[in-house]
Amino acid sequence: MNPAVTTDSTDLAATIAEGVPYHVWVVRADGSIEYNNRQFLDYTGLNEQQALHDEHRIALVHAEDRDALAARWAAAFAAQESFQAEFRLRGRDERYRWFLTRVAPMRDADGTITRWVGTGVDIDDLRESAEWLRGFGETAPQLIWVSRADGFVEFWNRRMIDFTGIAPDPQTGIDWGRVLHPDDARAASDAYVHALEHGTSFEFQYRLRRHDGAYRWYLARAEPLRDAGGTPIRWFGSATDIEERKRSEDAMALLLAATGIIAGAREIDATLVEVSELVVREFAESCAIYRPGDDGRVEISSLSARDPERGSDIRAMIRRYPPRAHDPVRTVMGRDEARLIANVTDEGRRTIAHDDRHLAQLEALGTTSVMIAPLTARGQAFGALHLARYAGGPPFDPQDLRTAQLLAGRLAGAMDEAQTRESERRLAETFQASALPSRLPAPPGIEIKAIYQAAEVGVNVGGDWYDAFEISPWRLVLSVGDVIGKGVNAAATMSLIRHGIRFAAQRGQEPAEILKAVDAALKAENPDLSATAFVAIMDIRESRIRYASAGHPPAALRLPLSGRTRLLDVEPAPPLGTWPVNTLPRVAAAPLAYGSLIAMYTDGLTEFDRDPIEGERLILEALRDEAAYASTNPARYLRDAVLAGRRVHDDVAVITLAFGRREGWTFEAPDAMEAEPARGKFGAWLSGAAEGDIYGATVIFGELVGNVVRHAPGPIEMRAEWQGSDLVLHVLDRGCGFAPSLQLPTDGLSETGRGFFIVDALARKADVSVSHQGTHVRVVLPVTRKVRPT
Amino acid sequence: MQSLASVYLTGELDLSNVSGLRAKLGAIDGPAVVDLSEVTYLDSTALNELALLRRRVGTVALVVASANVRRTLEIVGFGQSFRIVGKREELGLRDPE
Repeated sequence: MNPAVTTDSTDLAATIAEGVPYHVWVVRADGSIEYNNRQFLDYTGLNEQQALHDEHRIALVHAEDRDALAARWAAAFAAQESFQAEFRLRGRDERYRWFLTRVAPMRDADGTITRWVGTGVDIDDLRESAEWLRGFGETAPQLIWVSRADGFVEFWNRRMIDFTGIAPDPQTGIDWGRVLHPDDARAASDAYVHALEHGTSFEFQYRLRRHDGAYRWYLARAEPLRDAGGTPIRWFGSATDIEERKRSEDAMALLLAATGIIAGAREIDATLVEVSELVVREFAESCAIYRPGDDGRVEISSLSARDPERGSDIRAMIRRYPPRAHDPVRTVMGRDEARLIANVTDEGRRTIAHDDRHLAQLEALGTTSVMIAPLTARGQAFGALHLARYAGGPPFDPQDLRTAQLLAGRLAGAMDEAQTRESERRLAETFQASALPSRLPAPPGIEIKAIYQAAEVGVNVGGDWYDAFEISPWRLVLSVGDVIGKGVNAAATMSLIRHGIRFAAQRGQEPAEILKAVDAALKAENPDLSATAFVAIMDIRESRIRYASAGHPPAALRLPLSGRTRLLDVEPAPPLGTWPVNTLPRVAAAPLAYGSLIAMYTDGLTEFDRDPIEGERLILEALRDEAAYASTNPARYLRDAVLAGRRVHDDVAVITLAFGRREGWTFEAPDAMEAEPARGKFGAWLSGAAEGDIYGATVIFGELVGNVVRHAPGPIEMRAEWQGSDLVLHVLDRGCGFAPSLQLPTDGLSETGRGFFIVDALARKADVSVSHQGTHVRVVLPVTRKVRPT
Repeated sequence: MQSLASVYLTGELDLSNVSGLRAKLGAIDGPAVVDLSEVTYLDSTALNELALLRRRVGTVALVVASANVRRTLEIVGFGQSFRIVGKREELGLRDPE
């Protein structure tokens, strides 16, 4: 029975002291122990007697904590004040546990201390987990935070504080807006709020702002800690640095997309442009491809820039100041190593500047970081890839350089392949061309143009042909065809068929008989091969055309003036060389009006997408355009309009005949600048054929040529042709951006913008039409026909 | 009247020789007389260069003998910004070149 406890007055006190889950003891005013509760005795293993003596008690305190505790108690006792301390106390199981002890004096009415009451709370588990958590939080390589159920951030670990440079404010917590990238903040916040509201876990990738302002990608996850009822009471979050991984992923995606573009069937120039456009979307702000030109110059072959104005500036600057000997573009080209200029310096700029003006332009450009990778494949230097970033973006680093090198490798491979394909193709073309007619007839009023384009070697080379020849002053024969089969044998057979058609036609035979004769010849000569063919005989006096087909696609016809189109269709016989006995092919006829245009072609033109119906539709659509008739080479025009730069796996032959062409004047050149000197010849021709405002007509000529040179540098076609009493001047180019202004610039002293206004003022009529093929300007000149040309 | 710079141009002024024209006009640094009496052809290429000159030096007079050339100048309203005369004498300059 505990002597300090009496049954009557302190019953309640006793119940409390014995009932609470703490240690409780009472010390008399003189410092001697009066009472210890059952919890204390049970824990320590002391009996009631032993617990009253100090030496037994102090022996249970951990040696490291003993002195401090004794000192604290002594000081508090002397000062007659309460105190609290944490120390380790040994239990009956010989193990130490941490306790939080509070000792407070009890006073009587005078203030004199009558007793001291001590309590001890077991905080061992709490301390251990707190220790562990702190240790974990401080040492873990991730960023860790703890927030309340309402999102208030209570805790950031050391790494978080070190990385961001800020610590949670005890009052306000953390404003995530300060540390998240502006592009990611909104979405991340929404996701976090959603997780908080629904008590679900949170996972998000965002960019976190480092103390120096740079951003890095992090993968953040947060999980709720729930109470017994399942309600989240705390959120534990961590974020892992995924910057390297993200950059690798982005680089991988870029390379994959670039490989995809390269694998697509486009001309190499279009491919290079498309890859450049891809690169400047995210990886670099400008992407330029330099290639060695003739006579040792280095030229820029394509340039893309995220900011189009900057792109124009760069282009103009490089055109004026191409890379010289010390320019890194030159030193990298032809080597194996790529070069990283992480931070462009003034000295670097001075090295490449031609003169002060160039230096000023370079400074104005504000390039901050550059990478140059050689475009080299199989030992051949195709050029160099130049990537740059400008003010405001992070500099390139070695990881970026690796990506640039891989990209350059793929591009160089594509350029190598394209070059091989091209030289092989040209070889085949030359061979084929030698087997095609060297001269096309040009009877008065009739203009025949043709093109032949060989496919890549190894697919279907050789075997396509076109032909046109006169069998009398008023009868003309046209033929096209396609030998089914490959190789040299096919080329030889093609020649056989072509000459067979000539021979039969010259003997006066009609289309059906011509085809029959060739079928027989083919069976006799080369029974293994067959061919498709389309033969047409034109009678100029009757203005009619008669035609027959052996398994070949129909010809197309453009009607004059209206420009309506139709197919010259006829039920085809089987391919030549496969005819059953007694086959007689159908023959069809059509009238030909002056100003018509006929086009015959092989299926390489229409079947590039394995959809001949679509191909035929494209031909008719291209023919409908007056530009097809005005073109100086309608066959080439059609080929370009239908194929639009696609690579084809089959030969393409196209032959066109313009019927009832009026005398006129034509000019074409691959570079519009060459048309300028032609003005004089045009003027001379015009003076002989027309009268009226000859000078005005030459000014119109000059303005239109100048327009093409300025806005669509490249090929130009010009045709002046009488249409009734009007002399119409057609100018065709390959540009699509020209929107002519019919008003003078509002600034009277503007340095451009007058050209078309002048044309419109001097001409009887002026029209412009733009298609994906290019621009067609059509002007009625201010002249009339001379009755007797001089 | 202050002494004006004088420039004599001849022949055809078009895209093929614009750099020469630009150099000649570029050398002028004050009000000037551009003598086009012997110019046989002129289009917007030259007009653009003349506009640039006029903007730069403020006052430019043009001597134009050919009716064709004059017409081109008038179509684009150069009569507003340039003094256009048929003969150099009409300008009343004291010192001939």
